[in-house]
Amino acid sequence: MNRGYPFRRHSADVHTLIGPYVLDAVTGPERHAVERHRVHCPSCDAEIAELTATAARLADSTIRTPPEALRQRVLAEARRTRQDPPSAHADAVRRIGWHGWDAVAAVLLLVVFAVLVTYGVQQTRVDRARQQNAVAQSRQQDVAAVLAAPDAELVPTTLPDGARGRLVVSRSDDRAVVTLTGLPALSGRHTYQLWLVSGAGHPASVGVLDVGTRSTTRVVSGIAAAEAFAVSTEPAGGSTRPTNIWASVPLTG
Amino acid sequence: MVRQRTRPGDGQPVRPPADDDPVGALLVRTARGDEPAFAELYEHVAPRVYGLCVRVLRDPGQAEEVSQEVLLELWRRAARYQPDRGTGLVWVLTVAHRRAVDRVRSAQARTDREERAAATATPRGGDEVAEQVTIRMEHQQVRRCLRALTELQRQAVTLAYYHGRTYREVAELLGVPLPTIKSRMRDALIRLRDCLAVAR
Ligand SMILES: [Zn+2]
Repeated sequence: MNRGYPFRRHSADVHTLIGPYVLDAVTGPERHAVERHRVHCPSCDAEIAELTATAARLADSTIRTPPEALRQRVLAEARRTRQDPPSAHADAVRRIGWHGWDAVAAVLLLVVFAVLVTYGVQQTRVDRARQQNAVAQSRQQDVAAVLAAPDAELVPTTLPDGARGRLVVSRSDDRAVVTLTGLPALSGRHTYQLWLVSGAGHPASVGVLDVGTRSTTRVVSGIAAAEAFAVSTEPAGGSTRPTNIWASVPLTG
Repeated sequence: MVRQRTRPGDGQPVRPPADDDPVGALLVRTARGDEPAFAELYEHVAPRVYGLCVRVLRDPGQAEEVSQEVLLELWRRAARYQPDRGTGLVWVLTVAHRRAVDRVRSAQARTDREERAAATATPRGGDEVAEQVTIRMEHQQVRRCLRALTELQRQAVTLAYYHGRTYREVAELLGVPLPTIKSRMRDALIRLRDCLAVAR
């Protein structure tokens, strides 16, 4: 691990800090010591990268749906926020030079944002947010009921074009929770429609996404008799029969 | 406001994000000022960022504030993400964890009374939804692998990662010498890495 060159005097200390550094359990100066060291020590750099990816998995157990209002605020503020240039040099300068007028300017900027958000934007959104909340809450109760069913099981779901899907099925409850993310954008006024396909009958529509929607979580009923879950692409508003099946997930077994 | 940007001129090859790294791909698009990509990035990472902040800060209000800072930081600094240095999700969670820890420490500087609660609290609200439980496979893996650690390793990781404690505080809380706690943290991460790799 390059314990000698080029930080002979300090590198032994730095190596013992790898675990705490990866867990963000170090002080600022210790953090910088590790960051300076890893630039010159490829083996430490590789270990830190690997353990950082491991530590990130600890966040798997903390996932939580944020308030809808957060989404609106973040997207609105991003629209008026200038992006930083991609230079690593700017990063170093920022770390050292984050005081004086920079700080004053930042505080002023924050005040302006706060005023905008509080008075200009929030008022008009309150009603809509309340409405969405009520809908979201009843949907969440349905979702929770399916997921809590004793026989709830995760059905392997492979989707084309890099999209991701999760399907949790409870046959006793006759319902499933469908989560689709990263659906490819469709051209024109087209959208996705969800179907349950049984052996004998026609495919039954279980929902149409709004045009432009690329991710959704829904509770779908009538799963017990179905042999497959399918997603098709349709003209806006959906169709009575699937026009173009985009993905199909077997439910048997 | 779509502006084409060049990558940092440090001569390193820039690998495009792998197909199984949708967050990385969205970060690369976000770095070009692609607002729809950022909206999609939000859908992917906001529950993870917010959940982690709630866990570390144990206060939904503060968690919301810090999440907002983190998510806007992703917008502002997306160009800093280097696909060849790791997946997008790991980068996002690293940014989020650091911010949450910074906040919990500055709050602790004022009041340091929650120490005992910190060791046990696991906030759970009524607002968990699909993603939380549908990924319970991964969730269970992490828990199983945490259980496979020694008691000292598990406590060290828990106090540091989930409660934002420094290794000095952890050593003091657990009554263990500093060199021991530092090496237990590293050992624990190595064991977790191996356990999670097998479980995948
Ligand atoms: Zn080293």
